Amino acid sequence: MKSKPVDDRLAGGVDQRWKTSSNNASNIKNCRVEEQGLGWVNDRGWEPLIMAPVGTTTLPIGLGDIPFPTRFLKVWSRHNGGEVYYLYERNGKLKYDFGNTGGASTRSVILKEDRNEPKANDIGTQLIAYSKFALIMNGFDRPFKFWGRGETTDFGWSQPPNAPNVFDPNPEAKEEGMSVMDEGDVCFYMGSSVRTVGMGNNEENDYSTYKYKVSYISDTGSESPLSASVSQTWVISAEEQEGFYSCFLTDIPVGPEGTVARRIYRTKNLENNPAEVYYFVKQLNDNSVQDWVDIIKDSLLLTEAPDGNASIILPQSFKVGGNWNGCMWLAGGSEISTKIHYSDRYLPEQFNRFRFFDVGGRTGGAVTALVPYSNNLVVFRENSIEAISAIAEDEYTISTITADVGTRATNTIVEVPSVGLFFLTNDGVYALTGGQAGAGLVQLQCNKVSAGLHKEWKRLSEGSLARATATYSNREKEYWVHYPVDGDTENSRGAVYHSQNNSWSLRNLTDPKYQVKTNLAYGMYFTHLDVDPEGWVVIGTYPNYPYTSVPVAEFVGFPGYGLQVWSAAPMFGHWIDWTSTTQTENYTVNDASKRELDCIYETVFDDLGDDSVKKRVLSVEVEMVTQGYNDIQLSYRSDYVFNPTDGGGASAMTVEKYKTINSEPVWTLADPGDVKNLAKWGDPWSGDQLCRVRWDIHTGLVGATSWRIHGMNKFHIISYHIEYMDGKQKVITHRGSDG
Amino acid sequence: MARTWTTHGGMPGDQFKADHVNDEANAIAQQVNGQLDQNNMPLETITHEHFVDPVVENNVYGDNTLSTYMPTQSYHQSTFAPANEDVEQGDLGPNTIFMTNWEEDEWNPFWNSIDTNTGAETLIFRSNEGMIYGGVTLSLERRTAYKVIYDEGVPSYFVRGEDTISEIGVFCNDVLIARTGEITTGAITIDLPFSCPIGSELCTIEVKFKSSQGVIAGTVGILTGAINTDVNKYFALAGWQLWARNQYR
Repeated sequence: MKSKPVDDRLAGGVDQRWKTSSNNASNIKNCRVEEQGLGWVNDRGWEPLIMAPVGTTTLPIGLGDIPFPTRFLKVWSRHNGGEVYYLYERNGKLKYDFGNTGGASTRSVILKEDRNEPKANDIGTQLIAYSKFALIMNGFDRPFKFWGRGETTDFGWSQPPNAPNVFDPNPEAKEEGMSVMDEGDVCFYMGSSVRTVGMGNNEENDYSTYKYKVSYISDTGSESPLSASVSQTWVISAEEQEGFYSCFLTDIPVGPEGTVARRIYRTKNLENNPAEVYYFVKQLNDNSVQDWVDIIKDSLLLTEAPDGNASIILPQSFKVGGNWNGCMWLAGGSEISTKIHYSDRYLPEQFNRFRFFDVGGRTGGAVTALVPYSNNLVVFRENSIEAISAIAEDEYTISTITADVGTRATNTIVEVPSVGLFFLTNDGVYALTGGQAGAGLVQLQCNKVSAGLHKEWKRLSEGSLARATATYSNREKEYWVHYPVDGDTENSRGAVYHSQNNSWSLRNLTDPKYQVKTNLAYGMYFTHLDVDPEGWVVIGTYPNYPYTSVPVAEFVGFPGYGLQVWSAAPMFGHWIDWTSTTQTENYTVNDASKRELDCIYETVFDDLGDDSVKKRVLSVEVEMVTQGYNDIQLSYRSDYVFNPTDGGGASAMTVEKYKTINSEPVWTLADPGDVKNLAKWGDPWSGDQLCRVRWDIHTGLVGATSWRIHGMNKFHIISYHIEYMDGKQKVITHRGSDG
Repeated sequence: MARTWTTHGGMPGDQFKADHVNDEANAIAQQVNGQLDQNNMPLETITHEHFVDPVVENNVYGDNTLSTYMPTQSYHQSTFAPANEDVEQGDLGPNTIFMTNWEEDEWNPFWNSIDTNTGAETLIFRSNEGMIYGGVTLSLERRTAYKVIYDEGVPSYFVRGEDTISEIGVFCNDVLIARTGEITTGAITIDLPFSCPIGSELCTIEVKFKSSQGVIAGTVGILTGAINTDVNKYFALAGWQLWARNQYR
């Protein structure tokens, strides 16, 4: 009987639904879409962000912070990319590492220590870039501003300034033109004829009363709440004392670190007008001077002080925030879980008492994220999504986009350029698309974009969704979300959306997990993902998980004991092997080589139109990009059996050149054998070429088949077709229980 | 270009692809081409061990040049600073001073070497292709005068100098690269910067001077001719410092 081929099919992405296009895959593991969007390549692995020396390395006694999970990771750059900080948190220490140690004893700069360890339902530390600083907060520890290098200053204020001491003048001790100090009273006396300086009423039996307040100005230009007031009164009791006087301020409070100036406010003479209105008097442009003499006349006080609502002490327990429209937006946390406060424009630490939205009136739960997107600030809540829009200069309104979807996976909300704002929920990845058109007209839409992975989403650990993490890399052109599954509290599996061809694949090490040394199995426990300015995906790990309490000799550090980078490294990072303890722990660093089933491209079951028509599949032909002499394995399954049948190995190479002197130059093999053409300097080297590789599989008469190729060796699948023979007779009669 | 990691992994037996090698090399090439900042310096490529001390040389070419050769630049200087040892009243000033001592009518209005052995009028060093930046700071004095010629006790005529002009120039390998312009009489200190491109060669930087003066005769009695030496107040230099930095390309 003559065999026939199916049409050539482009290798598609993962779609786990029952009825899907037959070129789709049921499983793509640890592959990427090739740069031009054509085909699947398995050439990705990871390597340390800062490479350990090959061979022996030494670790601190007791491993120090190394076994602890990375609980925060953010790449933040300043100065147009001139300074790039790979900030991360481990064992309560928020820090970054620098590459060249120079004369330093350590390569780490620790910004804060003893920080709160987030539980599985806590989104942990958040970073909001605003102008030249980044606000870093976690809802428990004092939020602070990071200015680069090692400089940090507290964000906002935990209390208003103390009131200063004010000494009233002592007219009895007046001495013209001079100051006199008498038991703390200071009298700068200016005669009645002086018109430009001096305070108070100047004639006999006149009383003068003043009240003072002070405030801090922070390094962002924001003004703190005003202090309590302090007042002084004096009387001119004799004709000789007539004239203008001055008040002497002492103990003007010194502000917290980051204070760049302090402002002094006072009333006009309350004896003349009892209305307690404060005016700006003086700005002290430092944070050290504590004394100041006030000789400024009432008539020169023109600018009114901010009122008591202009700047308030904000609870410091906010957990989420965003920088949008020049304001700092803050929400979440135990005290303001449904309230969104926003700062004065361009003054990110100055919060007016009445600049807030409270979304508690609508169902939806606590605010879980504030994300600028398009020309809106998107408010994510546990069960709904709302959008804040500007309706006029510095005036805002809020409206609901959907009350159907929300998220607690704050760290998975990432924009995929030209596609939408992606985020993970209890039932998969959704995308917000669209934006605002005209004042107040919100046209954002929320759509599910990951229906093809429905089996995956059923496994999500909903209670630990706050641990999930995601990033988008413009280098890889992929949105990678990593999440906990099967009741686990750590991220162990990942799904990847490839924007090049609008498809999904999976990223994990679950069957079986990675085994090293004592045959303990380790997963792809990536606790955090982020991307650096060049698009390299940076990875925070949980080393040695789930074997966290092991002796130093059992510590292997997989999937990486420092920050890792997703790259073309032909390995899955390093694992380390304890050798001895001599003051410090000594380990040998080993490449974690890829294994046979770590990278898979597996098709859906294809019944070639009708599963009741039995057919015999003869071969699978795959169009690939040439890779060299290393064999790629194929195995296949028929009729939904669990165990695949081995289909043998074949190398991705033009068949006519295989093991001839015309083969493309290759990297040296330890045992070149009959490889004819090793790469040498001076010889021409080739580029990528297309080749067709065939595996003969010979199934019996079956209804549907699926095949997969896999291996630690590189493959790049573009398209395929299968060759088969079928009969006309349908087999639709039940067979006996024996089959 | 920031820090980079593996862009194409290669295993033994894999095809050796030109595009992949180019990609990997490109990352390095960009750094070599100057795209360096805090993070894209390849890790551990520069530590304290890699920094070499400058090489200091003194008087290698017999002209008292003190040279400091560093990885990206070299620095050279020489100083003529006569000690002021004479403290007699009315005789202040250094006891060693460069002064022209031409004989009669040997006045040379062109560029002259400072041909006294001050040992600091030149810098000689090995330059690398790049630029030379430097300067000379020196004090010079130039006066004019007149002289009355007596004939048996009777003033017969006098001669007087005029148009008394001096100038300082800097030459790099005999090419004029900086000049002060004409300076009239007086005692002044000048600071003359200079710069020029340079190749990889033995480089000589020399400070030269120019000085001229006309002479006229006034008639008292019989005019027999005026000679310069009668009125010439010498051209004097009272110390200088000459330095140059060679920034390698």
